[in-house]
Amino acid sequence: MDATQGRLASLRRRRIIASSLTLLAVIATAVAVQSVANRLGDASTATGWTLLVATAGLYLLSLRKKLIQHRLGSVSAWLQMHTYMGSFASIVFLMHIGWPIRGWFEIALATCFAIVAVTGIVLTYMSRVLPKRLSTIKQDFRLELIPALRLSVTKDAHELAIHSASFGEGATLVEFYQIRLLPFFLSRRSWFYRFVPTGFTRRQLLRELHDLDRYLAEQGLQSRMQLATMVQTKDDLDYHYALQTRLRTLFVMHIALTWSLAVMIAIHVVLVYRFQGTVL
Amino acid sequence: MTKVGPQRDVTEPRFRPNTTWVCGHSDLGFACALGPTSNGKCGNHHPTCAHDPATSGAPACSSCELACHKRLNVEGTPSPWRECETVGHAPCVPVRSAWSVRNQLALNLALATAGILLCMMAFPQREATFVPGSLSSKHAQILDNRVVSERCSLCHPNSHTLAKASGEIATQDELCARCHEGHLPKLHERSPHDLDRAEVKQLTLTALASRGLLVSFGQLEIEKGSQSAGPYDSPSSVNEPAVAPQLQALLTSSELKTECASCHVEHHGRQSDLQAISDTRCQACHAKQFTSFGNGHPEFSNYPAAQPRRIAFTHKAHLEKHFSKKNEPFDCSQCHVDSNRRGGVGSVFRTLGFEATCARCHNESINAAAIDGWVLLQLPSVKPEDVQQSGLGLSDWPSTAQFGYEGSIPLVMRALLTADTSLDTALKRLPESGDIQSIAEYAKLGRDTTISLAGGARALIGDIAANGQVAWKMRLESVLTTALARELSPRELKLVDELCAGLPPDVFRQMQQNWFGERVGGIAENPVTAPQAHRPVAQMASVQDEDRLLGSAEPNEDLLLGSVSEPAAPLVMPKQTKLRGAIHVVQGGWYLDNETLSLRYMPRGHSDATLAAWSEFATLWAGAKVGSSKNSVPLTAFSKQVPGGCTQCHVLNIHDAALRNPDSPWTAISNPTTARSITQFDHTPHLTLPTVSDCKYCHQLANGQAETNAFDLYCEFKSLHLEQCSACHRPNAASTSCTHCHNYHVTVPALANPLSAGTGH
Repeated sequence: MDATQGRLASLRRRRIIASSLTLLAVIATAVAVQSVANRLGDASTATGWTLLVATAGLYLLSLRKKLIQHRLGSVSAWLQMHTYMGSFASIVFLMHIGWPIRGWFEIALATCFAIVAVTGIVLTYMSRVLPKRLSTIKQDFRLELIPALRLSVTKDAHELAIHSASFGEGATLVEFYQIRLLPFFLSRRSWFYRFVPTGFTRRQLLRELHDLDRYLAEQGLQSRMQLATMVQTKDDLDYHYALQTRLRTLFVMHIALTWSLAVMIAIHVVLVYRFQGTVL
Repeated sequence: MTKVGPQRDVTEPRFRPNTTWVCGHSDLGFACALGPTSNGKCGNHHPTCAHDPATSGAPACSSCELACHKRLNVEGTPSPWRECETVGHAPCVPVRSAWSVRNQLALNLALATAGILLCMMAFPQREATFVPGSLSSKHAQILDNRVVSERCSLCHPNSHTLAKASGEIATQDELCARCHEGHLPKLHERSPHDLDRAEVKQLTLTALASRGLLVSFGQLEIEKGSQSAGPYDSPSSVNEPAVAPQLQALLTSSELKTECASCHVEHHGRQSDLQAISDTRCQACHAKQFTSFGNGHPEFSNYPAAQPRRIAFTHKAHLEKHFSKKNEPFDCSQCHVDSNRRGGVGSVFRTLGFEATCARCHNESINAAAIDGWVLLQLPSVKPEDVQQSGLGLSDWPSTAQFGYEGSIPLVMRALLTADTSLDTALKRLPESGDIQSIAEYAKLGRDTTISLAGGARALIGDIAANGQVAWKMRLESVLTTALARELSPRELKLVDELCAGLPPDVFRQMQQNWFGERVGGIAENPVTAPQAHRPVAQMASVQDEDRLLGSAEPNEDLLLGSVSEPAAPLVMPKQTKLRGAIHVVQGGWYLDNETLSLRYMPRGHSDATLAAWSEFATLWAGAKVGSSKNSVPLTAFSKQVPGGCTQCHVLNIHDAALRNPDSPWTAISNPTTARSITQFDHTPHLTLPTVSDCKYCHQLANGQAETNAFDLYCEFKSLHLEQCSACHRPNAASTSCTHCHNYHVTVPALANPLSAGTGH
């Protein structure tokens, strides 16, 4: 308990220090850029190089993940540095671009950077929020295993429903399974559910299952309870799948565009120096 | 219990997120523990397994069995173990892991991005693709024209290889200057405000000194307003510890270089303002820093600045004397505002011209000044005994000019006689007014002087009668050249031409005929004993010609009539009135007055070219004469002898460059619309404001008597104060930006040209 509290205190202290450093860096950059502009200097070049260095720093996280043999600090520390440097880069990016952004290439570059930055910010937020939401479910499920587990639950529910047909009141349960539960177990959840996962279907099915109790004897009640548990398990799996898929999709978007961004940044730098006033 | 070793990998294979391939049966819940190979093949096809059920149908070996021992431990759910038995160990189709898909996607996207961009570079539309925004409306045609290919290279020296291939490499600023140097001629200097570097240094040193930023000048002595920047040319001379750091930086030449793109940022859209610049950026170079126009801006001094003028006009006299006498309102806009035109300071001009402003009061007096014509040449009177004296050459002197030594030598005649060096002595005795009777020691010297001048006049008339305008011109050129002691400028030569223009040589031949009785062509005629009727000899009509046709005693005419021996029948002559210039030569021109034996000129009101030319000539000649020892008589009032009082209003300055240059000195100096001084002001929007529309809010007459003939720098108004402007130009009200009142690019030197000296501070 003390260790956990100590870890939390350390994390909080680290966050405060990192946030302060980021804020100081932003203020220093803003003052420097303003000073350059006031001295008839090229503020765009100043912010551009600052942005380039910060962006290069963001790629260090990928490098760190590759270099697992060396002791280069924990990945979580690197991730935290990546997060704050990303925040800094995003603010410098706003200083760098003029508004509105003009030119097809410039718009594409800015859009790419904006997507990467926004997905990064959202990922940072979700990585803090989603674990709390997922922890409300008893069991953790790894995203890669969820399809198999879903299939398993479906098969078990099917077997149980078939087995229920062998005793008298089980026909009611089988009929309900066929009409209401089978589509639930077999089908994937809607896109709406993936964006806004709710327990509406779960609650509705459980209520309807509970309404069958008056038609069921002891054996049927036992089977009904097992089916209710399976409905809850299936819904938990779907809930996990929705939230984790959302996180993974954003992460894929964040990662997938970084290299396109690198290509466009390289071309942008070349064009800037190719088209500047002096003779190369 | 912690599971260790291979047993754990077999029963609960550790999840490896960074593997490229995963078992195709993963989603079914019985992934093979061996997993696919690195190149994406199913592990159950491993050649070392002899019991591959896919090929042999034999039972699986122990390794394969172990691979199916994967159990899913979902709480409360039955195991799908039996599926393993049905599906068995059938080989799967491995699928890419999420990690691999992500990497594949990133790589493909990057390659696609690079490919698309490279393709776009190869296409002709690359300019439209990579241009970072459209150009401003002023430059839009550069990028959007369809005449030139490789349009980027018009501004960007490295954009294409064309410039380098042709060996013509220029910086971007030089490319800017190629188009803009026409109206910003000193753009190539790349110095602040396009000023000379010495001038920038001079201004800065003065500013630093006036604000105490130069602690001690040492050997630098700044003379405020001095044009010379000599002491500051050498950086070594100012490299002293007493000199402020700003100065050290200033004197480094690189500090003085500016780039167009520092202020004019392009590719910000059609509507972007290329001239937009923040006030703080303006102050980057300036010694005096201040927060806003109303807070810290240097106080005006001598603004509007005194300016040279060519019209001797005083607002004070007109306000207090003339307009008040007539009880008329002194409305500034009557003489200064023309809303249909725009000048250097908007719709307000220094003058709207004579006809629109002065003519109402002054036209009458100007026309009345020469109602009898202007006497250019008149014969002096001698005594009859001088005529009879053979040695003097005055035998044919008109009898009407034989009543004593008197008369007047007019300005023009005096100038023409001056070319005759034999008359130097006589002309020196002649007073400025030309009146013979006013000669000093008249009793003693009057006769000799008059006879000399009479002889000179006789020769002059003969010369011009024989040679026409050439003689007139040669005499005037000789006079001016001698007086100025230099070659005449183009403007002065043009002036002499103007003096000769319109002069009818036949007038002089008629003088010889009528006054001296001489035949045209040098054949002596009967001396004219009495002047004939007054006959105007203006260019248009010749009464003389009419007389011939009417049958005067001309021999040629007799021949034409064919009755030499018979006297012509007396014709009834129409009764002619006495010739008066104001009556007979109303539209202007030259005419002979045989009664007074004079040649006269009737001007054509204001702006008469002949009078203007003679006024200029008189000013030039008099100005040259003042400093000359050749003629002791002060001739400063020569120009006043020209009728119309031109020089009462028109200030003709001998030192005015306009008198030597082709420009006319008769037009009022106005702020040229093309010249850009450091300060700009537009009256037009101010005239719409009730508080300032009557001009007196800003332009208040200074106390004291203004000099009406001052022509150097003149201003009869008090200097403006900052508060007068900042009352409106304040935050959240009228603009307070630097560029609202100041130009960055100046085309006139800030110090040298008084027209641009109104820098205010």
